[in-house]
Parts: sequence; C-alpha cells; structure tokens
Amino acid sequence: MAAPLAPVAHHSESVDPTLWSWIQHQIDVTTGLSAAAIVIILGVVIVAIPVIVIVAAARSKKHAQSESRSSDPGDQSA
Amino acid sequence: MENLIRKVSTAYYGWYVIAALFFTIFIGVGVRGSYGVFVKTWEDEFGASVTLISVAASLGWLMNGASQPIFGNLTDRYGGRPVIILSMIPMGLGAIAMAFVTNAYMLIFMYGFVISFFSGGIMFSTGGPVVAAWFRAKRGTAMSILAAGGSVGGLILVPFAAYLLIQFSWQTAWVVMGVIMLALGVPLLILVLKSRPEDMGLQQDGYTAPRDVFATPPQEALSGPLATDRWQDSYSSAPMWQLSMAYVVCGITTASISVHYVRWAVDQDISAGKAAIAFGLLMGINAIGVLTIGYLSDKMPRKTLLGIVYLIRSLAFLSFLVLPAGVALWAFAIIGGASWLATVPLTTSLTADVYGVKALGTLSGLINLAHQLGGAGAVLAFGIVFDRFDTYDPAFFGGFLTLLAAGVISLSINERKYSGRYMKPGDTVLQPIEGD
Repeated sequence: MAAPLAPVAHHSESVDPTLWSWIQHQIDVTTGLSAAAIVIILGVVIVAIPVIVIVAAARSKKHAQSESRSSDPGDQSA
Repeated sequence: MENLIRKVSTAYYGWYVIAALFFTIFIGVGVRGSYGVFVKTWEDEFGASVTLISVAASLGWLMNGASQPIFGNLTDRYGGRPVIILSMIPMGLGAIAMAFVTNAYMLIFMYGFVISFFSGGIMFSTGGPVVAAWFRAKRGTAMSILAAGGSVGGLILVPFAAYLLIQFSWQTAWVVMGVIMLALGVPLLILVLKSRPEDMGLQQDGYTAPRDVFATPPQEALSGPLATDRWQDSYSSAPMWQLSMAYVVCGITTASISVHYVRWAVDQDISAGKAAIAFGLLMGINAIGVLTIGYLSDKMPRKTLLGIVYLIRSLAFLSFLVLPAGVALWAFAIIGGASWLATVPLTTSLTADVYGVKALGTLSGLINLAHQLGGAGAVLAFGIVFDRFDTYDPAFFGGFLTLLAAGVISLSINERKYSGRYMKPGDTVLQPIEGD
C-alpha cells in the first residue's frame, strides 16, 4: 500500500518528492541560475509581499485619517 | 440615505486585510508543503524509512484538521486577529525547533503535532470568518484570493526551502522559514490585520455610517433565517449537513489523487516525470480556476457553482475509467485542475451566507475536519483497493460516484431560502443581490 504522504497544496499537504525532483530539474535547466541566486530572488519576493502590504496599509490609514479630518468642520475650525 | 452612507473613496481597508491573510495562508501552506522536499534528506540522515517519515505527514494532516474547529471556536469568541497572531508565533518557533530534530520520532512530534496543530490557527477556519466579516458583496472573490495564497505559497516557498537545503542545509531552511513567520508574518498581522471592519470604524464592504443610522449592524440585518451564534444549532438544519457531506467528498477525491495519481500513472507505464508534469499542470490550472470561480460566485448562486465544480471533478474521475491512460492523465490534469481548490471559497462563503459570521470559525473548522477525515480515509482505502485488485479502477469508480452525489447534494441546497445574500433589511420577500 502506498505510503500516506499527501503531496499537493490543496489544504496544505506536503509536496510530492517525485514531483519536486522534476520541478527542481526544470528550474535548473530553464534558469541556469545557481542555488544561491534562486534563494536571493525568491527571498526578495517573500520579503517584499509583507513589506508592500504594511506600507500600503499604513498609507491607506493615513489617507483615511486626513480625509476624515478634512470632511469634519469641527476639526477645520479647530 | 446617500447623504448618510458613503462609499469609502480610498481602497477599502478590507483588501489590505485580505493581503495580510493571503501572506498568512501563503506561509501556512508553503511551510507545510515544503515537508516533502526534505524527505529524502531525512531518510539518509535519520536512517528512517519513508513510511516512518510519512507518519509525520499523515499525523500532520489529521492534526491540522482536528485543530481547526478549536481555533475556529476561539476565533468566534475572541476574533480572528489574536488567534491568528498567537498561532503564527508557536508555528514559527516550531519551525525553528525543527532544525534541532535528530530522529524520526522527534520529527513526528514537531511536525506531526506542533507545527501542524498551530497551522490550523492560520488557515481557513480562522481567516475565513475574518474575510466574511469584512466582505459580503465580494465575499466569494475575497475568499478565492485567500485560497490562492495557498497555491502561491506552494509555488514560491517550497522552491525557496528546497534551494536553501541545497545551498545551506535542511536545518538552515527550517530556521529561515521560522524567522519568516516571526519577523515578517507576525509584524504584518499586528500592523494590518483587524478582525472586523468595526475595529476600523467601517462597515462591511467599505460603507461608513453613523452608528444611529442602523438599529443593528448590516451583517445582522442581512442574515438569513438560520443565522446563529451557536454552532450546535447549525446541525439541526439541512445546509450544514449538505455542505459537510459534500466537503467530505472533496477530501476523499483530492487526498486520494494527491497520493495515488503519480503511482497510478507509473502503474499504467507512464513515466513518473510525465505524471509529474501533468500534476504540475493541474496545480497551475487550479490557481486560475479558484480565482475565476470565486469571482463568478459573487455574480450567481454559490450552490450552483459548487454543484458544477463537483460534477466537473466527477468527469475527471470518469476519465480514468473510460479514456486510455495516456489521454486520461492529461484530461484529469485539466478538468480536475479547474475544480481542485474551487470548493474552498464556495463552501466557506456559503456557510457564512447561511449561518452568519458569529459561529463561522467553528463551523468552518468542523467542515474542514470532515474534509481531512474523508481524505485520510480515502488515502488508505485507495491503497487497500489497489493492493486487493491490482488496479485503481474500483477506487476511481467510487470517487466518481461520491462526486456525483456531492454535486447533487450541493445543487439541492436551498440557498435562496436560507442565504442572507438574498435578503435586504426589512424585506419579507427574498431578493437577489446582484447578477442573479
């Protein structure tokens, strides 16, 4: 009987080692990049996602606050 | 009313909440998904069998399912923000602790229990209620973005972990993943995630209104007749059973294929590499499929789409039985891929529409638990069938029949009667919201 190792990301299952070996080979052949280069590229992407979201959300909050202040006559008079 | 209610002119803050949850699911699925990358290394280093190492993955599958109702219930009580943040921290610490594992039994404990348990706190049973609280009109789209976070996590974090393994060591890979959770995930959640729009002085879908305009908050006014704040009540109504039964079938048919697809292909004299390509195609199509289905679910009845998704997947299983193996391989990848993840946003959105958001965490957790139990049972059942009959055909036929049943069950959900989506405050006659 097959070992119960679930290999795909439907509900966070683990990737299949056979599938991953093939993918890794294709990445190596296609990009020709070293492992270090791929780590840096993917690392930048991973770091960029939360940083961009934090900055965008902070700007949105700031914009909403300033808009709220400008539409409030009490604040303007003050 | 237009003078009192105005749409927020800037981007609705709910989309930033979605972006934060996207990254949360991205990490949750990516970290757990990367487990398979290390199997061969651990085999050599620990001198353990694949089966023993697989026990950790199987336990992880069940533990993740079992923890979701618990974290879902905590979400209902305390809101998604504290639960997700306090789950991310031990999961990150657990990932770092993985670097100090020295044998398969420690692996089973750390991955199968600790990481998998806390990963249940950053998945759909906690993220789903937050999305449902922020979105109603575009709930399906928002849920599908959340689900797509898992696909993207698998696409980016799994290769990242693998190349960390090549460049450094498996210990370094786990430490880095833990640091990503603690140094990026936790601050992101603290700074951006809010459990409810009211926490930002907003209303659902981005409307702002003075407190005295509504006697009750919009989501309460728009709840269906089955909306409840006690999860137990849901089991005395048909939709909860219908959604749960269909989701069990989802678990049966995805988990079994996840484990047995490549093995079936090899048994049919198809190379493992070719099967892997087909499976890669399936995974690529599912990310597009889930976003498309999520968008469409905001325009038409969700139960109709859910039923169609199950029926489409039944055709994918039928292809194993009626098409030559070489054709079935690709037919399943394309047809199955289109329906693979699409059940997630549809099921969670429909649950929220029918039962409201107050007990949604627990309900989503219980439905996800049903999914995981169905999947675990099916993986074993498919293996037993293959051992006994020397073919997967009876198991595929069983999958086909259960999917047909899931399709019919989903289509039989009386969405128009029970979904808050078809109601407006004060209405006695049910009306569609849009595009229906």
